[in-house]
Amino acid sequence: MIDGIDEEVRRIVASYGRLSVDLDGVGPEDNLYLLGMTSHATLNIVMAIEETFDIEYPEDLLDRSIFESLSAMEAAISGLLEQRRTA
Amino acid sequence: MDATPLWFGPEDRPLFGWFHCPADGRARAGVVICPPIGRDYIQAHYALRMLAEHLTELGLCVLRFDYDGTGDSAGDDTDPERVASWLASVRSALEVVREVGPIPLSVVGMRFGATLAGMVAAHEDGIDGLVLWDPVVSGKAYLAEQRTLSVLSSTIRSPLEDGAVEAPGMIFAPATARELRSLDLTRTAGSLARRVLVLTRADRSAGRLTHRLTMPHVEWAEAAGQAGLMDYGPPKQALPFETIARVATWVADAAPTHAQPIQAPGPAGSAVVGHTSSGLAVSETPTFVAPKGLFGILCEADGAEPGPTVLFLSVASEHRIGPARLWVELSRRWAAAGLRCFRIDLSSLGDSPLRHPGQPRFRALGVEAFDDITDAMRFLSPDDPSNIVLVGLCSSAYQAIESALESTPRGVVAVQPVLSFRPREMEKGGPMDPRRRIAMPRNSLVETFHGDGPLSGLRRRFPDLGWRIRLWAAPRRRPGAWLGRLSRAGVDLFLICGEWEARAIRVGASQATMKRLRQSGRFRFEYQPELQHGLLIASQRAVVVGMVSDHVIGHFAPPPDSRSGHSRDTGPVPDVVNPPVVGDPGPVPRGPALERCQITRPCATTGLVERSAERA
Repeated sequence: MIDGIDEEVRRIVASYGRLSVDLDGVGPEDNLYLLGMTSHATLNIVMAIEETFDIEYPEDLLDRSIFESLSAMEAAISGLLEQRRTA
Repeated sequence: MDATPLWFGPEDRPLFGWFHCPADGRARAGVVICPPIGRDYIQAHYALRMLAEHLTELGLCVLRFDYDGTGDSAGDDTDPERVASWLASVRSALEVVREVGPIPLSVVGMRFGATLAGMVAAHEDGIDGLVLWDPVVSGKAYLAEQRTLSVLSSTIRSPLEDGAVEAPGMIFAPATARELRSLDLTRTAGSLARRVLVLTRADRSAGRLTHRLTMPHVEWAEAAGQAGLMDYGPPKQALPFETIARVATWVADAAPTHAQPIQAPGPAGSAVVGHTSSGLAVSETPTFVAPKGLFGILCEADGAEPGPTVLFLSVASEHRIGPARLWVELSRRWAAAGLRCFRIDLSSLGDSPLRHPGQPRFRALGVEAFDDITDAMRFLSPDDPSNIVLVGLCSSAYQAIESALESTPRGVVAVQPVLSFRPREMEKGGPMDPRRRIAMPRNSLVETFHGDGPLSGLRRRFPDLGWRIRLWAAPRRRPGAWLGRLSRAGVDLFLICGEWEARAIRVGASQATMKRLRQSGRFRFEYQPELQHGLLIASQRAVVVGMVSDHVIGHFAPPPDSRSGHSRDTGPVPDVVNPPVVGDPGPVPRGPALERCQITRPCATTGLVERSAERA
């Protein structure tokens, strides 16, 4: 995993996720939808991630599951950055 | 509300709107309000009504309206040249306000309405003020946003033609998607207006628009409360009072202090919104329901035979057009089949007034709805107020059932009824209104059971436990009991429920009761576990439309041989209803079960797709 992604993802989720709990207590595998993250909040996260990392989620990758947890988000971002690096 | 409904624009495709005017017939300036489209339009409708009223209090006249193929205007989103039509609608609206008198003209656009307003303003002279309220910067960004929202909202995908884009509650056909991609506010030229106010959300970037609109006459500010307005349904949805006041004040501050007499448009009569396949006109008439002046639209075809009137009830905090504009689509389709249809704004919602001064604005599930429905039934069918078919979804499905226990209409179509909620009258400790005979109030224990607290494990292991206890404690509220009462009263009831909505029914009515009810011929229950609550998924919506149309036309429309020209055929749709939203016949549905119910024509089968197949 590329360095620094996890911190940025935490920052973005803290800003836009509208969770019903404090993010400090949220583990990397915890289901964010069960912690109050709505589809609109996820949309804001998508937009913030795309702007922060200068990536665009391809249509075939875009799915609720890749935003379900912090680790899922980080893995998707790493994959897209790696694809871009090797392209 | 001191406003007049009107039809304007092309006579063969009339646009619907409201003209607000100060009571003395004089105005300091005129304003056109350009609404969003799709789900955003429904979310914002009441806020834009409030804006219009506020502007009128400040001495301005206002036109708010629906673009071609949206809201109550003629046409729908499968018609060709959508973007060009929407831009033309804005220009038609400007013309209406220009014609009332020589007063300065401003435009307020929200979301995609801001995009359209900006694109038109870039080619118009004489726009004094332009407000871009949470603007969509480009059509390309808008499509990406709406597609993402649709994907994030559900794992279910509608089969689409190549190039089509599904948004919550709407499909953009391939041609429309291409047209949308050509819209970009950053590629406009010039000042757009003498003064410009851009309001943006704090949680979203305005991107390249910040570079395009850096001129001295452009003011930037935060669209406070926009997330609360657009991202939530009731009870969390909140009107952005601060921003409404800010916009009204900003527009009014630049208007002349002296008001001029204006020639306001006259009140609307009927307009032809389409024709049946045999050439009969389908007309709509804006109507105020006595005695409280509730607003609705009557829809009927020429030569309609006497029969029950279908009364579509507004849903939750939304206005009369229904989920994904379904009440408009069904009104016109069923009118073509010979039924008289009426879609109504319940009191305090949409364009209707309050029933009494103490009624809160913009609140769903109020007890006032009982009287609203009684008034509407008496108004629409004074000789026999029971000669009505009630249609509702969510809160209004619940309302329809409660009202039916009292008024015994001919039929009820209740989609996704909400039976468990916190009644407003109980919020401060009062008792539940005795007219609520089937509602199960959510108290703190119920909230705890459904939360993520200590009872969550128990709920996951025994999901029906809560309902079993509650219904055991209130036997008369058991669905088996009130379903039986409706059946004995002769009410034809069609219930369509997803997993969550069906739980009370399945727990509260035995198999034997359900069998007996079905055998009466007056009861039908469709249980579809994956059905999305608000019918925002196109493929599911198409199937529900097919089922309810088959049912209502089959049970209530006059027989075809008693009329000339009306068709009961719910297969190939009458001209007044355009081909279904997912596009032309051709694309192969994904998953074997969808073949049984092709999305490209209303489904004549009784069942929706199976859960596993729908996920294929």
